[in-house]
Amino acid sequence: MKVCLIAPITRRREPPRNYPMGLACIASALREAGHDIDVLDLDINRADEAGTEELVRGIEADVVGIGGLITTYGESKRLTQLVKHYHPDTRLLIGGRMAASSPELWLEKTQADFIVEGEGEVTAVELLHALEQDEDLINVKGIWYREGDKYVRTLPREYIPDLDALPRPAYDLFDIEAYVDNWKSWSRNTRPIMMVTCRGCVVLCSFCYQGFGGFRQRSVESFVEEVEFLVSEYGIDTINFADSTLMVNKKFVEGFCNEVIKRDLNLKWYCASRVSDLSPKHGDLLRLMKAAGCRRLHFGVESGSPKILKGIKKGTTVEAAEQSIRMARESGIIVHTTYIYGLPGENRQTLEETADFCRRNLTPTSFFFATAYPETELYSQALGAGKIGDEETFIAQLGDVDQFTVNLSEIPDDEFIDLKAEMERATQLPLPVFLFRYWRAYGTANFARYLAFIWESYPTSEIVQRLFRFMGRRPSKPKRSGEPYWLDKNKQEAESKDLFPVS
Amino acid sequence: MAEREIVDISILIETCTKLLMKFQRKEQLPRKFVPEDYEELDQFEQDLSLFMAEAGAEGEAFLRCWRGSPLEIHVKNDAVNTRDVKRCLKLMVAFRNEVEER
Repeated sequence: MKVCLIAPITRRREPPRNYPMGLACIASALREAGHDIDVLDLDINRADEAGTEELVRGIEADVVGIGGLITTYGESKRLTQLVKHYHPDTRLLIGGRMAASSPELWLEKTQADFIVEGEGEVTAVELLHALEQDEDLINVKGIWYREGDKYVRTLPREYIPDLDALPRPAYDLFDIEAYVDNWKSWSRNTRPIMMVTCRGCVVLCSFCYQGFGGFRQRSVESFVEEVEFLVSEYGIDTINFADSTLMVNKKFVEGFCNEVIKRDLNLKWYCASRVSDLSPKHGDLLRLMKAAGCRRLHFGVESGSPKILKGIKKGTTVEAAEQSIRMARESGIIVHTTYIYGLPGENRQTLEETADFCRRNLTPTSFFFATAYPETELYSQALGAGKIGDEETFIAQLGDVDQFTVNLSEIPDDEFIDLKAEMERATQLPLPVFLFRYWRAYGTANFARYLAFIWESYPTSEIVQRLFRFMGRRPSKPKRSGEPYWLDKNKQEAESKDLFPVS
Repeated sequence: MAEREIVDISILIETCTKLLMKFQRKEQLPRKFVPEDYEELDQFEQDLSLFMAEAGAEGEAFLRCWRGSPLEIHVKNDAVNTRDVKRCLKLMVAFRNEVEER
């Protein structure tokens, strides 16, 4: 069959840096099954509305597939309308996390014919085979479709046990060079690509939708072979691991590091770890990672409050976070930490605990809004609390985690946005101040390493901007209704101390 | 046998939310569903039916809508149909909002 896979625009406010990995995996599986695959990558193309319409009109395919994140719902819905307008007889499939997390919505509100739920490589191949042979769709596991007035979901598809058995993503169908090029505005002289080694997770945090089931990981051999392919074919020299749980399997990490050193791949790489995946016995592993090119370890600390950490069911503690940050730093790896602002139960006390944590541990930090994505525990809580309203409207306005959608915390609505801005101002120090404190706290070697990392990682414009902040030209915080409560003298008097005293 | 007490709609919504979160967790991790899960769901559905039966015409309309689900969900062996639990929660929230608006 002739298949066209469409990648919608992921973030309109910035150029794309990560190729649509999910679509590339599906494209590869379908091509291996003998289908003729074409790709319409609108994320890299960035045509205007008329241009997009023209591109969709030009599609010649029996089946069109659209896949992406739930944040592309609005863009993707528009595409379904265009596809069905110009190609009414074409079968229209929706896949990826956006489909699996809201299948009823897609069938009810769009003209999609089929929803592929979960891992799509096997399901998409079986579905196309059933369509080709006019077989009964009820036997295809892992899909949703309409039948009269009903929305039918077939039996769930078993998770793919051996990830090595899957074909390599169809890199050749995407403009990888353009994606690599888009990193230039973010990092100096590197040619990065995003990769994953695993699917599924060992835990389920309240803010996460886990549509891929239990944790499975590729073998070191298969993964390193793909890395070598990317190095030779596209000149890749940096890997951004998109795995949230890379450090779960220490044997994999150790094997990967040894292979990178043995094969002299000269890679730089960045990865994330749960703080509880490291313990004092992993010092050698961290040093091996550093030797194999690991430049930055990202910890999703989420909160400095034990109460909030318990509530999100991440299985981590404040103590584990402090220990992991210290260990990673001692091994010479730069640490970056992220926090979620506004989780259920969040109040001034828990924010103060998080601010204290940031000041104690002195790492570059990012704060994100707690966001209720469909099929997460946060979403169910928001739904039950009556905070979702019309589901399609809510989902259509969902963006990245740096965009506010719903307040699930104990913080009053009128203080919510300002409090986050003030939290950031209180914990994210101007770069030179940060560096000075970093040097004083962790010594010259760590300091020099950090300077090198900054030079390597950020373009000059970003460094200059941060220096300007130090010179007193700090960007103004977003203005919303009312002043933050601690600027209100009456309220200040009522409080025994400042919430975020800048030390 | 003791007569069942009518549970308030806000309690029912809270129970349904907790059940949904629990079942979604089992579905996504994934973990096995156990007989207690069905018992809890059954208990909740009985309480909901009782509440709606006492709620007059609106309650009857709710029950018709709830029982006339357009979803035909096929689940494996012991799994709970979480999609219909979510649908029930949405209906209940809409029902409460309508009642409160009046």
